[in-house]
Amino acid sequence: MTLQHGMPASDRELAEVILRAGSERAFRELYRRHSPRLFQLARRLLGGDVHAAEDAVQETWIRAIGGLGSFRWESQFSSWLLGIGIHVCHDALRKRRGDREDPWDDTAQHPSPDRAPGERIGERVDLERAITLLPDGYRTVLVLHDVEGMAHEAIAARLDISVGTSKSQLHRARRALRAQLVPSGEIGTSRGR
Amino acid sequence: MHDDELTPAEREAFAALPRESLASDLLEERTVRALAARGWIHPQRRIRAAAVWTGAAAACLLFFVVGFSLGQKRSVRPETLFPAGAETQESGTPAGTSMQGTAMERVSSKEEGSSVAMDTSGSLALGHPELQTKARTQVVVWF
Repeated sequence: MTLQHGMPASDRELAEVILRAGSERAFRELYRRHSPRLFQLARRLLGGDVHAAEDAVQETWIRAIGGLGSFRWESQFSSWLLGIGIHVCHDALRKRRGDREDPWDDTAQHPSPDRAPGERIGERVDLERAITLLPDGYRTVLVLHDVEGMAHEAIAARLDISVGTSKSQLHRARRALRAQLVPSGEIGTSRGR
Repeated sequence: MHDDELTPAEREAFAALPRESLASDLLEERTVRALAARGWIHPQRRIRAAAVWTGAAAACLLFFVVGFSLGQKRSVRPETLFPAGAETQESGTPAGTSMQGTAMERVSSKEEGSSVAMDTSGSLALGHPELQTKARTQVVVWF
């Protein structure tokens, strides 16, 4: 979608058209611009569950368009949208777990991640696969910090946890991930797809 | 190596992870429907566009049908009424009578002006060549 000046419409211009006229075309443009990133993040946070990730993307857009009028454009639209997406995924994980466990409990002993039938102990696994095998709390912080590049303060604010909890979760997550990737204790690379 | 720090190789591995992934087209449609159901976006434009295209297609079809039927009605041409050699054909011969009769039948159901022309041309077949030129002119002008 382009405006009169011939340049592609900015996120803000599209959002204004959506708010003013309820333009489906403007929404589709905005959707196609940001959904690939949102979908990948949701899929990672939700442990590779594609259907849950799709539900999360839809719910994120519903919340975003519903709250578009209150967005002050002091940050990038993509950051705001991903923030909503993180909340949605966090809610989905909480619903999935129920009240059985606290994902941020540092004293909890998480069982060894499930392995696929073809995978053996000691076998090197793909980084993406290793991330999906992490417990929810570990995976959430690791994805937000090491993959998305968020600071602990921002993660703590998004997930409503303390900065200390975020740091300890990351520490444990990396340790678990290394155990997955290099069981022998060697440090090496394992590229994602 | 401190446990809390990523090695360069690990950083590289994380950086190489894809940041985007395409979801199915169905998800986009599902999301649009969900927003439209809440009244936050209005898909009328597409409905209007569809209506315009349907109307245009119907108009084209109607135009074609009307044009075709008009063309069928007016398919009797002067060449049919006055084929080459007809003028030299002897009036009253079976062939000449048949040709004129057929033309008369076709034209009799047409408008009055055409009928007048054919009446005149019919008299040609009966042996009035002086009216032939006038009748042909009338037919040509009418068409």
